[in-house]
Amino acid sequence: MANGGSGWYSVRCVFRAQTSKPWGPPDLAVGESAYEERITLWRAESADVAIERAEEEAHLYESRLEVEYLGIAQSYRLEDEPGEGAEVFSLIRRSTLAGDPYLDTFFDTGAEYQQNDES
Amino acid sequence: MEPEAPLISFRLDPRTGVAPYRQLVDQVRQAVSLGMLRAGDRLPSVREVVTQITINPNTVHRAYRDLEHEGVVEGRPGLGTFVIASSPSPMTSEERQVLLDELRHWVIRARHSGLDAEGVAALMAAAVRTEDPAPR
Repeated sequence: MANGGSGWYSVRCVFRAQTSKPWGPPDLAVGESAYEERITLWRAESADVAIERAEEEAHLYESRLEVEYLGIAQSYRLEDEPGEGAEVFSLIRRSTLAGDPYLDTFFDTGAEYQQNDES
Repeated sequence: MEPEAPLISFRLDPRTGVAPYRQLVDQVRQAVSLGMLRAGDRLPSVREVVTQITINPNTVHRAYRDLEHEGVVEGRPGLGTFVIASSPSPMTSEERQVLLDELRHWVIRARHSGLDAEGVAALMAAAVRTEDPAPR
């Protein structure tokens, strides 16, 4: 059943790479994986449709970038048209961790690669 | 079975100021319109492009995605990215070469007359508009 109504949706998908390639982290050790979170933007009639389209794209990304799509797609309906300052994704998670340990656990482990990093 | 070698080799010109993904899109569209790529032909894999030219793999994916939206190619997970559009009037490679040679001579004359690359392109676009006045 349709949910969310027509509008812009961002969808977050997670991918895993287990081998080094000419791109990405060049120094994966044996038993180590590289996980990537990607958020794509879709204009769709509902969250279900947005997720369906995002997963189609995820499977192409999986194939082209030689990674594994882990099968999780989390959607967020934008309040407005995407533009400067627009909130494009939001997700709230419960945790007993304090601020710094929370960031160290999920966002700043020291093993992150961002766009400006050498890769 | 090994996939057939791709029929197009990309090149990037940083001097144009055109975004790399757009350069790939334009090269595929031009190859299709000239009949150098036909329906069923496979585009190079991301790995092939990345080992051929210095480019971010996500940029190749973006270019292929745009071409999918334009209906020029189709991505098939696990198989590759294939051309689905065809030129309305594909020409033979010999016919294409004759036209290309004539055009090269014309470009040389235009450059000798003082036109830069942008001017040459503008003049060419004007000629095409004059010859093909269909409303846009």
